[in-house]
Amino acid sequence: MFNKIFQNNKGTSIIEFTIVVFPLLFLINALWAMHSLHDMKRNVYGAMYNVLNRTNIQPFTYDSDDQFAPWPVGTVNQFVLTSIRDNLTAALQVGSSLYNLAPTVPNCRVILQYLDVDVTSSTPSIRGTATGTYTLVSNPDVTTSSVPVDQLIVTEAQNFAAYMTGKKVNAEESRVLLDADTLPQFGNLDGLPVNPIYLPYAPFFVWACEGDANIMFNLVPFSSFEFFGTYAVKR
Amino acid sequence: MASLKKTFINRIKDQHGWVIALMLVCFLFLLTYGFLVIEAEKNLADRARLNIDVTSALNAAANVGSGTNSNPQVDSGPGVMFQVACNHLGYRLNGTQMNNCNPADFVATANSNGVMTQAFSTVDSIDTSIRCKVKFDYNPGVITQTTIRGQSLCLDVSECQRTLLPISLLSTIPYKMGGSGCIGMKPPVAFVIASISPSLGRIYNNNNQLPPPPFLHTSAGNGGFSFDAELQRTSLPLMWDSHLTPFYSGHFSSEPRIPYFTPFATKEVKTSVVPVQNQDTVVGGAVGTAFIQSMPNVPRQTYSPLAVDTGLSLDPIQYMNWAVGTIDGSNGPLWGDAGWVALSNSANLKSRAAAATQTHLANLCFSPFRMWFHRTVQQFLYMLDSYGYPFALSAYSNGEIPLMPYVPYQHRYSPTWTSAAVPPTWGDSPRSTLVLPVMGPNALQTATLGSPAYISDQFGNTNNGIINNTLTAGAFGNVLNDTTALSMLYQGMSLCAREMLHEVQTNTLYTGVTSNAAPHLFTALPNAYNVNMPVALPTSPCTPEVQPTIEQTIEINGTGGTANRGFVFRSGGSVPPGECGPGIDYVGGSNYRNICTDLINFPTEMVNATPVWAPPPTGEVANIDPVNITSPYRACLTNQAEIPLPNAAVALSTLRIGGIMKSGWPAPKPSANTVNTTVAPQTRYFTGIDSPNVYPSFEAVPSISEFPTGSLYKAFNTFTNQPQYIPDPTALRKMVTIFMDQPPKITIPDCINGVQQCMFFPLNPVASGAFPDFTVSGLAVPFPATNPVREFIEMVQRMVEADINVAIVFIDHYSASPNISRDFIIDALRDPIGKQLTSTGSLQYALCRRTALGAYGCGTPLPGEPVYYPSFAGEATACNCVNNPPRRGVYIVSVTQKSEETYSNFQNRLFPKITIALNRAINQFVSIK
Repeated sequence: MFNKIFQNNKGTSIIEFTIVVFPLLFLINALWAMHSLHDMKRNVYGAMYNVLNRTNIQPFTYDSDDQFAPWPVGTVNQFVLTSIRDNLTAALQVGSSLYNLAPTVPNCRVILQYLDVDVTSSTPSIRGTATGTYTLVSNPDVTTSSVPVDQLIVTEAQNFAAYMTGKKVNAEESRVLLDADTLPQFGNLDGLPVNPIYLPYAPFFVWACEGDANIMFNLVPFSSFEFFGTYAVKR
Repeated sequence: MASLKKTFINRIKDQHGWVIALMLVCFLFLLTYGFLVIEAEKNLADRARLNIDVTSALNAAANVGSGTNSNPQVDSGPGVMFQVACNHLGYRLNGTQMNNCNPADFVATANSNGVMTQAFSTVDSIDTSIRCKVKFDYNPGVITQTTIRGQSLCLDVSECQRTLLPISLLSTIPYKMGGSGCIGMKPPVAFVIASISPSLGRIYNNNNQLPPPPFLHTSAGNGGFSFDAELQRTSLPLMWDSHLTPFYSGHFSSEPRIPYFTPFATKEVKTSVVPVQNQDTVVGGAVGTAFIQSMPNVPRQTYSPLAVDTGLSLDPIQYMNWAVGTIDGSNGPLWGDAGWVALSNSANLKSRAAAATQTHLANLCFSPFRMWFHRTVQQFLYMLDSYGYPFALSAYSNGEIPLMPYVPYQHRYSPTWTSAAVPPTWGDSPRSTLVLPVMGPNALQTATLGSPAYISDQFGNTNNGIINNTLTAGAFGNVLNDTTALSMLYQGMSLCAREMLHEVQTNTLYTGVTSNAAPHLFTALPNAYNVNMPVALPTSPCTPEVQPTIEQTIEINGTGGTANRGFVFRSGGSVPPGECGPGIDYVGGSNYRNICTDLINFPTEMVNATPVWAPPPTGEVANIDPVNITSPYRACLTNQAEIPLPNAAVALSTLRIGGIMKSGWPAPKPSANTVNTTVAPQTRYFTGIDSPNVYPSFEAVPSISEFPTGSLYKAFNTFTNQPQYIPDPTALRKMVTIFMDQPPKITIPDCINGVQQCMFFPLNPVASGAFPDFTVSGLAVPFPATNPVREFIEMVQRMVEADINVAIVFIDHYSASPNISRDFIIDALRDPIGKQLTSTGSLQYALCRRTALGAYGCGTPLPGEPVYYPSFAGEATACNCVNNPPRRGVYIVSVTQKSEETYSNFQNRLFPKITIALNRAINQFVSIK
């Protein structure tokens, strides 16, 4: 039947075919790409959840005085980030079949961010709040990187620090019960003398993923994607 | 049919656009379907995002903890948990409503059961394209005799719908998504263990043990020693550098005042009767006072044997001197009495070295390191007390246990002991409870202080006649009645208190007048809370069972006029240089020592000792408290019943002081390899001093003290054998916290088989075969993987698998060998890399370690270890997994005193780290939904 049509109306049929099939193909590709984008997004979130929600992540180390301290750049990868990144890669590798057809493997990165915390204020509503300053701990240094995902993560960290400024992020870590006559009376533990201890910083993971989705057999750029977020690690 | 076909062909021929139309239909269908699928995928992705955001917010709340503050709105507690979670979630949801995270509003929603709920009905989230409902719920849980349910905080983000209208019109049942989760904390119960080792009392970096008791004898092979030099080297000075004055920079507006001016409050009791003591001669019997008579049994430390009054009974502490062999050729046990000590037989010297001399006790009891070790343990107890968590406490050592009594916090701050039976307090002065570490009654028992109920609670019912006395016929309760028991409790009643509470000070040291005027005698306040209580010299010796000190006061006069020395307790910076001490505000006090400390000259060799304990800073030499020391706890108070069984008293105080218990009962051992389990544990304690069942008669062999595994075993038994007390054991968060400063050196089989003389652990010891055999017998294991160390690790791993959390707190000195063992323990408490059922000669777990040990490379299991897991062997070696975090359920805290570090700096580091870590460990919220 179709042979006959094409024999009788070759030019029209080719045009019709071209007009119909290529947009349809494009549409299918676009739909596929959009689907893939969301699927990747879901996979990224799932992978982040799976990786960052593990209970054995240690967001602090100890300094030379045996006190809690942020991880230094030199060792944060060895003891924290490398395993997270490896696990993240592994988690993404087990994405859906749609993901496997996705054009670009997501470029994901996780770093540690330490928000500075006010520990000196005598006002309970202020004590324990983020001061707005922060430190990013990652190797390589994302703050000087020109890699898009690094810039993305820095932007996210800045936004997060700005949002949390003035908001309580750390509570009292502990309290040492001491002599009444040697202490200012912080708080009120039934009138008992205490020395509350606050951590002067609060750790968060900042993560970001970016990549490109192409269509038409990976020949035509279609869309780029950026996923990012912060995650409060259980310490 | 043929007609239909023809019509169809014709229509195709006639309507060329039909193809397009058909394709458009497909196109639209595909487009619609595609967007629906995409929308669904998008919803799934957003739901995944909501879940991670919810989890993150709950993590933030979990970091807050349930509250150490009674005001839940301020620093911690459910209000702040809500606030922090709300703040964090608000960032991700970007909803304006989430800016209202006021903790007070949340707390105000509490109903009669303490359940708090706050809901936000329209939170625009995820770039405002979705609108959700957000709800926080806090439930404080329930703890009754029949129900145990922990507290929880739940966060529910629900009914999230797209705000974009066309999407919402696609279905009459709009797609709704959300995310939710809960964190919860089981009610904790804690078992706290203080593992006491002799090294707690060390004072020198290069000496890991206590200074040896300065028993010097001209014929004992110590001819190269000078008595004075040895005494100086090993004994003095013992200074008090505000060890118990917490000082955190930034937290104080001014220099701390003196919180503890003495370990034991003392009072001068005699000023002119006691004759001068000089270097070589002690005048004992010449004075004839009961005071001197109370400490006659051991000769002073001198070159020459001293004639002593041997008419008094033995001091319980001397039981530790029990000599192996004899000095008279017989084979029976021989107590290290005065005559024995004074003998010149050098063969007895090693046993003498086990004597608890005053110097030995001084170091053990009052070494700053020991003080801070115990103070840190106490701090954890106070935390548990403050939280209201039930806890048990065990202190274990094979040797002496110098205890710092645990005082209930309420009593430390505001004692309410005001009954007629108990002298009045010092009013509201916080010092009234801080200066003296004595044990107080439970807060709920103040009204019954002194009553049988209180004593019964502390000791068991001592009036009940449950304990037989092998020396004195009749029930033990007839001897140790409530009144006596209370007096034992009431005083500082540790070995330290009892043995360190006599002091003689020279007139020079006391008044600054260089003369040989009569020295001054100090003795303990009979009631620490009542300085007005008269303290008089006893008018007669406490016979027949007086409790003497072991030695006389060490070195009263200086030598050559340059070394006035004594036990000087120094406080930090509260007294201007050049002045006498601030004068302690005793009420109605008289004759309290007031030392102008610039009169005290430390001999050079003391000051330059490496390190000297907290050497006095320049310009602050005068800042020595007007303190006293040691004065005595004398059981022989005139208004108290005599105590015919002093050893029972000591055992009692050791057993129950501050709620601290030994980890077990002394084990009667009729012979080297048997354990007599037929004797009731109580009987093993409360028997006569000559009974073979009495502790520590079987500590004939000098013991090694470090046996934390025994304490762990007791904790294990406690937590796994008490279902009758717990409605649902799984509903509790079981936490064992062990404080230790030395690696384990004794194994359970060592104890069972009599290799080491040990205290056993309830339940009663059983045949050795019934104990888990952790020990690899007969296998050479390279250091530091010694059998005691590996047994300890195995015990911890086994407890974790039994759902018992274990927190290990190392508070130690810098010292190469023990630190290597410590690090080995820390490394090994990762997830095991192999496991097997134990059998004789095998260990249950293969452990991580940081280096090869001898012939055992990183890929080779140590002797007795199982093979590594196949999955592990392919990817790494035992030396790689040390970088992993500790095994879940294991918490490790380690604070090491650095070489040459002052104790002030040490304590500044000690408290924050340990309290934070333990606070987190004990109050851990975990995801429950």
